[in-house]
Amino acid sequence: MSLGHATVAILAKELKTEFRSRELLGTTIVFVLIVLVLFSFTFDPTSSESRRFGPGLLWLAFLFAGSLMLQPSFLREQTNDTLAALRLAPIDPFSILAGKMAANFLFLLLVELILLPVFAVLYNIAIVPVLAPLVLVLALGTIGLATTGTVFSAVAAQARLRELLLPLLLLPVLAPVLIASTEATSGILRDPSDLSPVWLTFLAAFDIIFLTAAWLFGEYLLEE
Amino acid sequence: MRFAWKHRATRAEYVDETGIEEFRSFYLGREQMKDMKFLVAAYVAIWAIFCVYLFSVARRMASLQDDIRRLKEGGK
Amino acid sequence: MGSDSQSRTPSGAVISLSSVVVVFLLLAAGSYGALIKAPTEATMGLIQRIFYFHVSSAWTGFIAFFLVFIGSIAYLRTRSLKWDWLSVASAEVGVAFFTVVLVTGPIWAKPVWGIWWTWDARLTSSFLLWVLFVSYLLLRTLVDEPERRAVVAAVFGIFATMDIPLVYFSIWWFRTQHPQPVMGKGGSLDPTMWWVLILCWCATLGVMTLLIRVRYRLEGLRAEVDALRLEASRNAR
Repeated sequence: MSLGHATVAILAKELKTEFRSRELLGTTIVFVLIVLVLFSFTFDPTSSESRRFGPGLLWLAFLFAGSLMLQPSFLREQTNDTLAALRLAPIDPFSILAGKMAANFLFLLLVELILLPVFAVLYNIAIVPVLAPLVLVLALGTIGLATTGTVFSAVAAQARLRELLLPLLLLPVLAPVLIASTEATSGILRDPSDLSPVWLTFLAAFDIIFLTAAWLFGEYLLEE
Repeated sequence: MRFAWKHRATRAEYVDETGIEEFRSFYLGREQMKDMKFLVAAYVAIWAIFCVYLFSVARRMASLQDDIRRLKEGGK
Repeated sequence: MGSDSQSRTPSGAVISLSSVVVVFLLLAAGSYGALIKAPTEATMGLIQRIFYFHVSSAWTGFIAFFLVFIGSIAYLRTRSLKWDWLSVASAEVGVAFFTVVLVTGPIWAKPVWGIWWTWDARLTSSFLLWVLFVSYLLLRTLVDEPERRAVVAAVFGIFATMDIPLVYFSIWWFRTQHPQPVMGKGGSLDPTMWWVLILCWCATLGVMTLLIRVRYRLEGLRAEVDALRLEASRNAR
């Protein structure tokens, strides 16, 4: 089986597992909603203030959501030792990681797209005219989040205190993504909206670098 | 210095027993003396960090060597 | 890398006396240069003399973190635990050097800028780097089985070191786009200052090498204990 086929198979398996219960998506959405409400107490959420602080808090909420949501990605495989079964399959081990990354990317993007209108309404920010560049930034940032998050989920799954460990490993590494996507988003939401090419390139570079790293070194995490 | 403070000394009463005041006015301005304190603090901090680190490594090493001795004796 | 003769004698000296002497001489020379020989900086005065060990500690810290990268990749390729020992030793020593940077930074900032901390690009990135490698060390304490720990730590170590330039660039671009209350150590350095800085860097590199060797030895002892424990449990059975 080629890498592509195997990846798609794993992706389909992940999607099927999740959409059977939808518990992960539901929990994450509620979590981000709670964070969005709580953030409204930390500053005066008028329209102009929101435009200043909104992008940062949105991305911070997504990052926290990611560090919670990516937890079960490998943990779920451990309870019934299904990872061992996956490893036995005659496929490139990277396809296991790649399939999970793709699935996590889709889950996160879905959560973000559901919550974006809620955010816009709650914080009085007009997003409809700038939707296309906004989704582009969301996608680029989320690739970075899903790539590193999936790899670190495999790392954390092999340690004690795994639930605590993942955010601890993930959040400092994701600091550049937080900065870049927050800056890009606030550029888009500024009055003459402009999409900063510097930050877009930076996000793309982050994604490429860590995808390559995951491809080169990720499979070591799956061996036994 | 302590004596001088106790009596709320005016400048005339002040006795510079240690000569530090003389050193201060001769070599350094008041501002520089403040800088000097920070500089000393920085150097003390650097040495302290490395001493603490070395101490922690030495302690861990000693306890491991104890373990090795115990395990070897237990084996015989 | 420690030679075999060292791992056979657990109580043997890890570092030679002469290397310690050389490093102490370098440190003495560096301190002399930094405190006395270098000209006093015009605007910041005496306090600028922190600069020499502050900056050279940061450079040395980077080298140590780079060794984590080398050790991690080499471990994954060769599966020799000695490379893992190098990684953990370098990570710990790197964290120690960055602790120096983070402690001396505010001590320098206070008299010059009037505040202990400013979210200046360099301070912020150093702080993030420190956190990154502290979590690397934390991760290591949470995995018990040596081979597993080595693999997991190696992958995280590689990711963490690859993150370093990204952290620096992002924070640098971020900070240059925003107004800064206080900025600019900038300016060109006097040639004597350069020489003193290089001398201090050599001294801190020497300290780094010694510390890594000692810490490497500690990891070797730990492996020895693990092996003896395994043997003891086999004999018991």
